[in-house]
Amino acid sequence: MTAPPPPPPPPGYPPQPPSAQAPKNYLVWSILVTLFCCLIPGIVAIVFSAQVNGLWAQGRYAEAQKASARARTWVIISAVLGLISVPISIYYATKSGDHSNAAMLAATF
Amino acid sequence: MAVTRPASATLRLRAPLAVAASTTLVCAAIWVGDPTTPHGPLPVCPTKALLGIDCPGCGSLRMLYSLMHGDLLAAVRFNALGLVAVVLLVWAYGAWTYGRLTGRRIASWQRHRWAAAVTLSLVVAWFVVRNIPFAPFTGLHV
Repeated sequence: MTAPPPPPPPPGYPPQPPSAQAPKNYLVWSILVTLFCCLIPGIVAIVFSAQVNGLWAQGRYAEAQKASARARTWVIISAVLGLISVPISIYYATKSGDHSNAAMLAATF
Repeated sequence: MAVTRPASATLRLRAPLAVAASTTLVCAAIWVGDPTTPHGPLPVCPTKALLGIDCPGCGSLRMLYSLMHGDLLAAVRFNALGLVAVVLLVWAYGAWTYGRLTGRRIASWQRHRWAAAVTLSLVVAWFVVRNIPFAPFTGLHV
């Protein structure tokens, strides 16, 4: 669908926001991955989360959306790294001879 | 508008129920895996394993384990900031679920203008404080 581009705003007025609400800042997800996955990507995600609302309030809408997308990307990176560490950890726990907990966990699921 | 009729309560609660189910599963794994006993099956924080430092999330599994066993002091000891985060996450979950049930968006703390900036400051401060190599900060090591 090719809608004609919206007319440029009249001079002297601030640009209008593309939608009524600021883009998602993914703060809850950023906190979750920082707590449970691994440090650096989680903190990067919080940094981008922190930028979203401020940029939006300043009228820098495109940058706010970019920060939101980056927060999401880093949440995903962190979650993937965290998930990878689970099988590795179970492997080493099994290898180190301490079978009791690993076997119990395997029996549970 | 794409939505012509209100979705049933079951449909609206599907996502919150999925979150509750996965949380239960994770909690069960923590309960069985017992992270307070070393060399169990539950993963050690990758940052801790690779760099040997305490990251802001270190101790979270042990914190949740202690919390589930009613030992609040031990939970604080393992990750005090993590415990605060758990309270905030439960709050966000409650607001989100209530909002889905009533069809309205409930303003929770994470939408607040300074929420992310405050979170970032607290996380960075916690990261620094629990790695200071002399007393009394060494008492924060986990």
